[in-house]
Amino acid sequence: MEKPATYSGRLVCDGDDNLLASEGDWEGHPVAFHEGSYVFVQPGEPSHNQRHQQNVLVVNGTVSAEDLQNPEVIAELERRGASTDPADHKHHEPGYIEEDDPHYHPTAPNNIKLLVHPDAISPMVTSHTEAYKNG
Amino acid sequence: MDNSFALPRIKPIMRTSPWVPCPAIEERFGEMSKPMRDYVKRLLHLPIRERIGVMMSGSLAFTLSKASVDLPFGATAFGLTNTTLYHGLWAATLDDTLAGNTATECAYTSYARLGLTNNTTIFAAGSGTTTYTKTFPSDATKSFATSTGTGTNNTVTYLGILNGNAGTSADKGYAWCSVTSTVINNGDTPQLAQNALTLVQD
Repeated sequence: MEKPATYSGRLVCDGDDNLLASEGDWEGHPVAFHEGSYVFVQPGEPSHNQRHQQNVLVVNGTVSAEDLQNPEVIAELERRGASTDPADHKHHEPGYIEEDDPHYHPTAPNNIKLLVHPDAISPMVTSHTEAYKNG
Repeated sequence: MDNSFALPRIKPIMRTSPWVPCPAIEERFGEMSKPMRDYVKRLLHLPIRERIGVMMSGSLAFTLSKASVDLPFGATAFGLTNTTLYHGLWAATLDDTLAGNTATECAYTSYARLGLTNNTTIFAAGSGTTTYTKTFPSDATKSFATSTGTGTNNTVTYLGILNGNAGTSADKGYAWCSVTSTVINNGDTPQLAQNALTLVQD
């Protein structure tokens, strides 16, 4: 079967800079965003991340407000490049949720009720080439 | 009409008991159960970077909690497909009801869940007896896809782990945790540092 020029479907990344097709006949094959669509990456070509990466952001866990008073904790967060702004950690405490959070619900336990998409549309809301057609 | 105002009364603060230095937590060990003592001792001896990990806020999702109890009690086969574990980013609060169709998942252009093969290279054995601590990814830093546009839900505050990538309710929640509020812009590559995630079971 001849590989098409572009891919349409669910996406996944492998942690090693590759964006991959996640369904269909070409599941597991590397793809990359190129001029509005997702093209298959040919052997020897740069991966998706190699083509587009300008900056790395480390995703760090939150710490409690009390820990943010500890100079050792501050130093470690700074070493990791993580934010030391209390505002970026305020959701650390169990049950903390702000009223403008989409999952806030005034009468739910802990005021949290997760919203869900119907299964008929949820696969294409994100992690899918169709979700990114308009950039 | 009354014209009145209050005069401040000066009242010195007087101590009413002897000065007692705040006790070190070790002095409370007599009031703690042995598992609690062991837990505190272990925390005190951990390097600061691991103590931060232990204090991360999060939980196992309900489906995994249930499966991990049904297996030893009732010998119910572990039914959550788990050859690959998928890590997603969310822009709203998560809880134990996390599933693959939970709304507000990150959707910057080219976002995709991070699929990590479920083996002991990436999820190496943990350590501990009274509490069991496992950190991952054990082998290396792992990168999400580089953003190629702002899209939507690109300020992430939670990370969720699922057993599938269908994007539907068929993807069952494994665990979730809060992460520092991070805005992902065009050209940014979110990463999970090696051993960034810590799971503690007591």
